[in-house]
Amino acid sequence: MNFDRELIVRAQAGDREAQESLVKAFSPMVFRLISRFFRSREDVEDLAQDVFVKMFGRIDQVRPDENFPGWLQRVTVNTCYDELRKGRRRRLALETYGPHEIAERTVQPKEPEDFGKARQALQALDPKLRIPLILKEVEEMSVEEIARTMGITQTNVKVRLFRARKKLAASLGSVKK
Amino acid sequence: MNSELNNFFKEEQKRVFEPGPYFTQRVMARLVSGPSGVEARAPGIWDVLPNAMRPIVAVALMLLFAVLAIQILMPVEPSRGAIEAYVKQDLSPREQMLFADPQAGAGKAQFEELIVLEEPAQ
Repeated sequence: MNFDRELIVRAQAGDREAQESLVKAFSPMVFRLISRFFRSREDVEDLAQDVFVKMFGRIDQVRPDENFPGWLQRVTVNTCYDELRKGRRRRLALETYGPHEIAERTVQPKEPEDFGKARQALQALDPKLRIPLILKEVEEMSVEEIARTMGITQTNVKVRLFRARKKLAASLGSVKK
Repeated sequence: MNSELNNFFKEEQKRVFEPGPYFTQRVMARLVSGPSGVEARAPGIWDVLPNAMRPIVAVALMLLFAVLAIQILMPVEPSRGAIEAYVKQDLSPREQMLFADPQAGAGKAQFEELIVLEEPAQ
């Protein structure tokens, strides 16, 4: 951790080597987190670049004694949230103005049918509900960690998880019927 | 949560992209070339406003334009407003002189008519 702190201080001072080392050190974590929300490699890479550009743009705000990985996770999740919201708006517009089979295009054909249904149901969830659910079930974060990462209260996380599960169960139930 | 979903989430844990060999160079190149496309984009009016303010500003602008449109499109006499104009439209010249426009010089004929009305019948 001391190594990280030193790197951060050097990166804040504009040291290119330190900045490169930070990207190398944290890119697997950033990629892993973004992969939870996006399925195309290009999207993941583009967003990861955005995250690091944002990170260096705000690196002066980081205190060396702060939990840097946690801060970076927050930046990453916020970037994903913004992108998911934009995507949702685009998708709604397409669904309204163009009768394309959007859901089918986002599902990979190789996976089992049940997974396709689960993925569709998950993608239909509002990003506000989808993100905490994925962080809990796939990233296996605790409620406290999710609250810190998303910048909301633990109660709010629990409420969102409850709603997400309820909606997911309802939409999967209606698919089965 | 049912087993289908549990299996799906377990499967999702395995699906992870790794950074490519040139990822760090690409990020550094973007940093060197200045602010990113996202950051460099000139902020529009909706970017400047916080999310919560947008609907309020939109409604306020709509109301403002509606009022302006009414002001411009509705012909209103300079000395009286829309309500006054509406109320006054049914007044006879006599009533108008008594109730609505006391400052205006009354016609002699109108005065005489009023005086005749007040005189007791003989």
